[in-house]
Amino acid sequence: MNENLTLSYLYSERDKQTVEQNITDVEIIKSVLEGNKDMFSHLVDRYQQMIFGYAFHLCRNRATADDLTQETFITAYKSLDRLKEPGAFPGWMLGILKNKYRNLARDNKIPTIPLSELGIDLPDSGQQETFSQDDLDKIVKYVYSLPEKYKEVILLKYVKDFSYKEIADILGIPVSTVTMRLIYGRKLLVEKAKKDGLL
Amino acid sequence: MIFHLSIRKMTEYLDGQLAENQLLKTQTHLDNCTKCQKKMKILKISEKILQVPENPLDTLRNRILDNIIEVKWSVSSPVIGEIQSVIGLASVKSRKTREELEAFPGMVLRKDDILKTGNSSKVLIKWKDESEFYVNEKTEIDFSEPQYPISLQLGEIFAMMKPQRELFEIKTPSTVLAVVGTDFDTKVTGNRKTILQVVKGKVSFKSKTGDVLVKKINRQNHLNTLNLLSQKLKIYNRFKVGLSPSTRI
Repeated sequence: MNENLTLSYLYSERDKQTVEQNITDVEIIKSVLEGNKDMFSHLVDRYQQMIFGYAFHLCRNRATADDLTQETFITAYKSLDRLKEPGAFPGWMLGILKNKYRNLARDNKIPTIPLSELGIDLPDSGQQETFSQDDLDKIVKYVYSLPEKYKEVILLKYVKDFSYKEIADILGIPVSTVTMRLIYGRKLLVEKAKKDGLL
Repeated sequence: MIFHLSIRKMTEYLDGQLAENQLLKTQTHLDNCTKCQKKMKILKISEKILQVPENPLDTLRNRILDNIIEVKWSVSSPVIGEIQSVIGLASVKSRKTREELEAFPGMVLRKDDILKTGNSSKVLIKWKDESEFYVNEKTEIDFSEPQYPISLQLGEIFAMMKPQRELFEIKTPSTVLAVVGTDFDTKVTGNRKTILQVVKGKVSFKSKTGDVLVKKINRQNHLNTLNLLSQKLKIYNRFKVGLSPSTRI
């Protein structure tokens, strides 16, 4: 893991100043641990969209995703001295998020709101001729039933259009593994569609 | 024979990984092949499904930052290992800072910590020398005792130890287990009784009444115990790769 990783592609407009100053996650974390609590806001700016996006697709519920994002950041802050490699901060946070989601899903039934009600621009059968609404519903099921390791890389690819290298850094896996998971995950989607007669 | 685009090629196309000449070739094929167009459409719809809805990020940001309060860090205590997996709720409390945190994968454990697992919860710890400890439900381990790396107060751990260069001792309320490099299961019951079962190698079992060297269980005399341990090992190994064990252990 590159300790000097500067994920400039994640920065929001507000964080441009930080980009200019080229402050890395490692430097921010060091500063927070030295008592500069306010520096944590830079990490929130950098990663809240990634965490929210990931949380949203875990639970498909905006309010729950909001709560999970908030709790993930708070746990990450309180446990910052428990992070082995500061350069691995985003992947470490995903671990916290997934653990929180598992505990939540185990104890509670999370109401899942259909994608059509969440403002996601999914083409309906009227806009495109290839697939019926029934087919589209099936594709949604294929995506959500993908094994986590494949869904995860496809999700990170689309949440912020991360490069393969960026996904590899976040998850702490080699770029070649990211490439293979992206290919194999998509292969599974196409195979399911074939099996159901969509192709 | 008609050739179609492979999923690898489609992936490279979608993710902008193709060089210009390959991109043109792929695009030309897509323009003329309805079968590949359909496949590509499914992949593009999947992209849309994985979009993130608009969210008022400023509100969320403020909510997060409003809840960030001063905490005490325990950076000065040595790192002893890391939590690899957690099932259910477990907590880590630092004796030094008094902060109690929920346990999660990737969390570093320090010398002054106490780990507690709740009902139906399990934790896998990777020690700094790569030894592994599978911690069962309702267990309490104190890592803060200066002379012992692990003090098992209550509950059960299954240890798969790497060969130890120095003496590695596990303390329980009634005994001290000296480990060289072996696999064993140890349990402290509610009445502070220690039960030791050795799967591989030897463990020295020291108590007030004297020392006993415990070897691996004799297959003929203790077939049932061995079966139980082998079942436990299988469940722990499932746990290790991230599957949720369905059997209560």
